[in-house]
Order: sequence, then structure tokens, then C-alpha cells
Amino acid sequence: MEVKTLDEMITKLGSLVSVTEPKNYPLDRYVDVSPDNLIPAVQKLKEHGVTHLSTIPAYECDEGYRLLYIMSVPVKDGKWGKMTIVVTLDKNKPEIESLTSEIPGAEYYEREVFDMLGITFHNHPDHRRLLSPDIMPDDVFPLRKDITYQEIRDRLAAEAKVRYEE
Amino acid sequence: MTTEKMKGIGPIPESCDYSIAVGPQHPTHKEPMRWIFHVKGETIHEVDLRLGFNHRGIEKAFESRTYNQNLYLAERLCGICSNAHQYCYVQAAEKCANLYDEVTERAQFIRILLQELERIQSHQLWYGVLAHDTGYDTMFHITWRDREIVSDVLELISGNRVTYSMYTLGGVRRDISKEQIDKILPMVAEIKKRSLYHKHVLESEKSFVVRQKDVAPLSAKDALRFCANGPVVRAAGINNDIRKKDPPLGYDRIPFDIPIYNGCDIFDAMRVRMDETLIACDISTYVLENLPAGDIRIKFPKKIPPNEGISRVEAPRGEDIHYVRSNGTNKPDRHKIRAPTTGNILSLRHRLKGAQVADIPPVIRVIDPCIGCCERATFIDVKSGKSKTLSNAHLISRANRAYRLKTKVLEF
Repeated sequence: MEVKTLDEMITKLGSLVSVTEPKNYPLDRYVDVSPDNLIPAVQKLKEHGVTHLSTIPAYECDEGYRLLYIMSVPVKDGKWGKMTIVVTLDKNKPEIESLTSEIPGAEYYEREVFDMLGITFHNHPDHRRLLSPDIMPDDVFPLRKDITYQEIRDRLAAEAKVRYEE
Repeated sequence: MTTEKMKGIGPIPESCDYSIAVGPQHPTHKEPMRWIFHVKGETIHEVDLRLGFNHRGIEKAFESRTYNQNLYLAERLCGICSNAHQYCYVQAAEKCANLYDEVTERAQFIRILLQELERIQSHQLWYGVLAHDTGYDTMFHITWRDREIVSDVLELISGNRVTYSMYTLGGVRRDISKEQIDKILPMVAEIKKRSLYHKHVLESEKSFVVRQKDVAPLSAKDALRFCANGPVVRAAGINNDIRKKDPPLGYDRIPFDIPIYNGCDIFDAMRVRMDETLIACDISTYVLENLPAGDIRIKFPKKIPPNEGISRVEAPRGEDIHYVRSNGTNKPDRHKIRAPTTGNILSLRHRLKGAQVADIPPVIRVIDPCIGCCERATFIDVKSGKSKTLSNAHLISRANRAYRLKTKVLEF
């Protein structure tokens, strides 16, 4: 059952989402979802033929950590709209349920978010770092705002010394 | 989470009797990635992959440069699809500044021309390398010889053969003159003629076809499940071409078809790319013959008010996405890049299961992996920024140590 426009899709999602302000272009929409409502909202989207998760950009902001799940929603004329589900996480509790149970393709995107920002995904099938080196200390997450270039370099150098030098 | 679990490679499953490590440096790979194939006999049962050998910190670098400087950083993500990344970046930044719709028609068409010419050179490169991977080196040399023509066309338009630097925020940097069009049109016709010849040879050479038919299929269901993108999905019968589904400006006014096959295997992925090369020639000819008059760029502000923009284009390898978040200054707050390879790796891992060891090179080739795009985000600088001269003996001892570490990991 396909929808005609992204706005129709947003009305179908109902109380699961809240739209802060309409902005950007007809094929771009941003909706806010609380962490608990993410899985039900994605299940609802799947009922309307949504399968494609493009990626999960994430960044640190004043309110905490923000994840953006970019989903492709089939709309009229064979087009795909970009519906971006925005989830904001508390800074002291960067945890969320993994989306891999609904969309297996989210596995690598979630691993990258964990690698860069240290957000834990519960029930993830393979919860490891993706890109950073093996010597990256367990508590260092490079894209967090509270760590600088120099600190990461120093920590990596210290770790490398322990591992590779006599 | 234990430290062991954090490491790159997992343990060998009990059902397998050998593990083969391929890479990071291996003749099969054009770029560094480390595969661990857990095999039983000649059949691959489990696949593990370690990425991160080409991690340069580009996403972080984007945040410390201005929007104009980022133009040239964006195209240096990758050598082959440099244009696609720049295309994607300018569109995302224009969406941030609410100027996306105002780019002139002439600029839109020149952008499309560059993108399609890049598709031709990327696909010709790809099927040349595929022929090389399956042991058909004659065809590799022929396709790469013929690929020079499209490089010449791109040089004629932009002055460069690899990073074209044609796009700018709000339009394109150089115009195309009437004389250039007269020179380019016969060259595009020649490219099409030679591509037709490649298609004829590659589809009828039996020893080449037999290496690909029914090898490592990816069904439509799995392609959707693993969120795959690009030509491998169109080889499974699903139309996912961004040029039709979420088109950049201008594509709506150009008539063209999307090639779709149902074989799911490497052979059909090759046929999709072959047909796309021919269609890209047609689109280029159409654009050159119907180039609208007008300006090539509009004025673009130096500072962008707080906003966010997502844009995607159909790169030669598949769907490329950029996310730009502006904060009112002349530098972005966050820039996220998702290259097509990152989206395809999971489905590639899946389709390698059950394949034979001898088929590994063509199967890895099917998604056209580009690790340069795939890994970019932060920074790996182990040597703490100090300049330090390392002796030969020191380097050898480090290499040996790293080698020992690897073997230890494999013994688990």
C-alpha cells in the first residue's frame, strides 16, 4: 500500500512522530521520533513498502547525540521521498535499540556510529568498531566534541608504544 | 564488551577447517581491505572483513574548512567517481542555503554532461578490470585503450583527466563553447561505437561468460534486505536508479531508459553496466545538442544560516549520499558522506557465502568496491604528528610484530 506524498506518510505515522517545522524541499521531510518509538515507526513504514535505509548520519549537539535515519519512501510517479527520522539521545545515556531486527542493512551504519560517537546499539549482531585501528583505546570516540585531535594522537601513540615497541 | 570482541577479526567457526586471509595488500584488490574467508574444502562458509586501512579523516577535515574549500576536498574522496561526490556536495550545500531550485538550466545540463561522461569512464574501467580478474587480459588492454577517448573528452571540457573541478556552489565554473561541442560530438559517437564492440565481445566470449553466469547470485529479496544499491540491484530486477527515483535537477527533461535484468548474477551486473555506458553516451549527445542558453552560475553566499540538507546522486557505483549541516558560519557543522561501497559491503559478504575460492576476485569486483570513498571519517595518525626517522631494522621488526599479531588472532 503506497502513499502519494511524504506528508500523507507523516499523517499515517500519527502520534509516533512529531514534526517540528516543515522545511526544505517536497521530497525531503524531517520528523522527530523518541528513542522508544523508533522501532514501531519503522515497522509502520515497512507496511507501506519502505525497505531502503540509506545511512545514519550522527552528530553531537547541545541536547545530546542526534541520529538521522534516512529512509526512502515510495511516493507517486515512481519517485522516492527522503524521510529522515531524527532521534535525539541523552548525553549521559547514549544507548538505543538496534534497527537490525527490522532492517538488516543497518548493521554497518550502526557499527560506524558506535565507532565514531560511542553510541551503544542493543541487540546488535556484531557490535564492534568498524574503521578505527585495533589500537584505538576502548573509551576514545573520535567524533565526540570533548576530545581534541591532539588528545587522540597522544592516546594512540601511547597505546602503540605498549603494543609495538620494546 | 571485551577487548577481544573489539578487535577487527572474529574467531573461526567450528564448521570450517581453514581460514584464508586475503589482503590488506593483495593482487586481487586495487585498494586495501582485509578479507578472512572461513572455508570448508573449496567452499566459503563464513566471511569476515576488516576495513579501515584507507581512513584519512576527511569528514573531520570538512568541518575545519570553508564551503568553497570543501569543493575541492569533496572531489578528492575518490579518483574514479570524484565528480559524483562533488555533485552531491554542491547540491547538499545548495539545499542548506535554500538555493537548490535556482541553479540555471544551462548549469544543470553541464553538470549532467560531466556526470554521464564520468559514468562512461568508470564503467569502461570496471569491465576492463573484471576481464582482468577473470583472466581475460586482452580485453582489459582493449577497454583501457578505448577509455582514453572519454578521458580526452573530459580534458577538453574541464582541463583535467581525473579531478575535473567543474562544479561550484551555485553552478559550474566553466562554460562549454560551440567549438567544443563540435569537437566532442564525434568523439562521443566513437565511444559508443567502441562500447558496442566491447559489449559484443564480452557477451559472446564463452570462457569469460562461464566464469560469471550463476556465480554468487544476490536475489531481489536479499538486495532489499541488506539495503544494497547501484547496478547490482538493477541486475536483480529492481529499479533503484536515483536518476529516476530522486532525480537531481535536469534529469526530468532528458529522455532515457534504465536497463534492468533478472539474472541476479555477475553476468547481469555486467550487462547492466554495459547498457548504462551506451545510455550515458546517448544522454551526453542529447545534452550537447540541447544545451539551453543562459548563465552558468548564480551568486552563492559565503555564510549559510543554520539548516541541514541531504542530497543524493546516482554515482557510477550506486547511490551516493551527502548530509551537510550548517551553523551560520562559513564552515559546516557536520558533513557526512555515505559512498555506494559502504552500502553494498553487507550484501557482498552475504553473496560470497557458498561461492568457490577461485571465484573470489570476480565476486568482489561485482560491486566495484572503492575503499577510498568507503572509509573517510576521522584520522589515523599513530606517530603523534612528530617527524621521526625510522630505520630499516625498526620497520622490519614492526612488520614482523604485526604479522605475529595477525597469526595469533587467526588461531582463535
